Amino acid sequence: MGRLRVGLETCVILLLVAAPSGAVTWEEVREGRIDPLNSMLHAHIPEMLAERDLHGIGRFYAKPLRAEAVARYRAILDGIPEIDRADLRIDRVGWDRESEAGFPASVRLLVRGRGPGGELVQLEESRRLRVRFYDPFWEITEERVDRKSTVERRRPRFDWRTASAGVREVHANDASPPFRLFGGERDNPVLQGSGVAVADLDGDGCEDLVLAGSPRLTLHRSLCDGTFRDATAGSGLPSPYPAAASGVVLFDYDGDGRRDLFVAAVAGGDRLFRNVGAPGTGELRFVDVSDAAGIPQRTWSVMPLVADYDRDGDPDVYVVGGGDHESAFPSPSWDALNGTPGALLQNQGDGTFRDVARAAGVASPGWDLAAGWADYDGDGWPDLYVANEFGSNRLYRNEGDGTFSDRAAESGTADGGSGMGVAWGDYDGDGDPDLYVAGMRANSAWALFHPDFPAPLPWWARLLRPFTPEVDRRSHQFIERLTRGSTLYRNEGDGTFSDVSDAAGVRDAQWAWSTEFFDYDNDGDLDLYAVNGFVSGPVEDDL
Amino acid sequence: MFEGVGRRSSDAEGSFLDIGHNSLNGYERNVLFRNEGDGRFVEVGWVTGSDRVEDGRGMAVADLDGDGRLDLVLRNYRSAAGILRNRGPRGSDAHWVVLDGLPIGSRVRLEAGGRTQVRSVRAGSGFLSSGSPRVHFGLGDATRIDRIEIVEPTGRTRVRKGVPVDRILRLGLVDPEVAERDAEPDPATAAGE
Repeated sequence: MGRLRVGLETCVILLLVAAPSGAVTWEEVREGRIDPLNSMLHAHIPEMLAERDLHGIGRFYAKPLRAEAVARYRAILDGIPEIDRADLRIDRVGWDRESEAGFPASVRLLVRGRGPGGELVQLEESRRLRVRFYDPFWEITEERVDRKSTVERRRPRFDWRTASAGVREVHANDASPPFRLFGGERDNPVLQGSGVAVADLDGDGCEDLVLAGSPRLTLHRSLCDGTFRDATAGSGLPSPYPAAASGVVLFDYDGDGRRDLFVAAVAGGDRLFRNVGAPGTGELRFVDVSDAAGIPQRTWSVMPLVADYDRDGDPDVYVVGGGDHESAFPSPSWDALNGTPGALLQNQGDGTFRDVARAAGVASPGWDLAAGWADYDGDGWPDLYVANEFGSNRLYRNEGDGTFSDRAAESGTADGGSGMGVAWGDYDGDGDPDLYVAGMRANSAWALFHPDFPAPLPWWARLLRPFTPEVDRRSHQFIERLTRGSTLYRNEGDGTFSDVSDAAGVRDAQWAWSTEFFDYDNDGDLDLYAVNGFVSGPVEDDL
Repeated sequence: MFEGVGRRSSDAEGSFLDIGHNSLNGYERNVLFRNEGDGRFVEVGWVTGSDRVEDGRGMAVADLDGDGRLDLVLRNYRSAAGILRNRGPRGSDAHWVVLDGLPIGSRVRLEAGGRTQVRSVRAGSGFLSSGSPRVHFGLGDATRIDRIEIVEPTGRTRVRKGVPVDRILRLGLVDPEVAERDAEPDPATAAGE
């Protein structure tokens, strides 16, 4: 039947909610079965563990299992007498593999706290369970610990500094339109996020910061001791910033030795600010040269990133274009192609730029959120990876003649997930850059594979569904891709990549956004950091 | 009674998900995956003190206090920005070197302690963000760098041999004065931390 068009109505978010057809059944299943299982595993067991209520936990286990299970938890408490937080994540439930003992389920238990000597400890256990439903409760009938690891340190390595570092700038992006996917109301908690850029702007050898946002886009001058002073006032940067400032990058576009600022923003707020400060004086001053430089104004710009893609010695800018969250929905819903096209601003060497994205073949049409430049094939020409929020990503290989060709499919990096962050780095030390794509690991993905979940299918696929398992198979593949989390692609050195996320242990960075390879412990190999979390509301529970 | 999964809003027309006062993948802890050197990573966010709970968005890496250890700047969503200062372990620490002033896109190949590392100068990465344009190398217990090869995007190549560690090498066009000094062929422009 060719490619099944799984008509996801809007986006991955919708996977967490019921589609119209079959909603009544699903509501019953969700309330009667899914919620109780979620409560037992995801909520009650970790809460009781943190409260040392082993008797309470024991009641979730079938009698023959109880003593052994409680002993396992007691051993955990002995190792971590002071629990800071316990977390039981449900990976999958084998809804189609029910046996006498119930459904198979794979879960991960994460416990963090302090050990007997006050050391910081984190324990992780992968467990395989069987869970049986006794209306209205669930019971664990089998449990096996597959893998167990602990990591500990005497003292933390990082200190968190806000006010004391002089960067206590609370984020707002008031100029952002409300997101239609979240109701389109002004008071909904989802607006455009904002980034940060680091570089020495005044030539004193210390690196300064730009924090995006609106109404405040701020400049923080380094005092060279790890602290900063807000230097926005008098810097020439507009205040209030007139658009939802999103991504920022610092680079010397005109070769005068001073780094300039490019801001990507929503709804016509892309700006290039030329650095006109006097080096060595500590003065930070910028002038808006967007019009003179020919910076195009676009619907929904997300982030700028710089490379000398034509290798002529001056830096060029790619501006990632996202979906118009104010007024559009991703279309086609399973692989959005109606985003603001990416722009490739070629530096003309005379202080102006020209958008050559279409001619160069990099006007990515996705609802793109992130991208990264790297020479993945070692031919000396910078290539570009672009991550789509709703569907296939692109790997634009630089052909060296001013054009690019999309090699995502043949290289194995199309991903098709919910791409939200991109980082390149040679984590395995073989000389070529590997790729980490931050994505979404949905807490409730396991529930969406339930046979009664009204998979967001087009009407004709729903009609076919009773007659062929192929419909469910494809639908599940799709849900899997969108909710599985982040992906580490190892560069095989021959133009292809392998997904090594599970073996490497980096699949679950939760709902991840910005991410970066860096060597935090200076041991010569690249570690990986990711920030995460979507919306933390007054009510801690998920929807 | 039960924790909910997959509730949807039905009141607002055209609304697909009304989060309201609830959370959606909220209160998650940032992750730090430590490279074990054998293809695997171990999550060390909690034990290193880097597992911030704010809703993340932007993030950039840079050594902000010049101690040779990379710090993180977090641009969180609807909460305060901040810095995860990497203060390192107590006592002695691994060696490092930083290269400053290279054109964006330059590729640096460094050989030290029997190991070769390749890094590039980037501007724009992660999500919405752009880390330090300097290139940082952790060197473990290597106290001398055998060789550094820098290839700029234009193809211009420079090689430095026998470079000392634990310092920032200023190699480029930060200001005219430094640029002039950089015209000299050897690594004498190295500046201490």
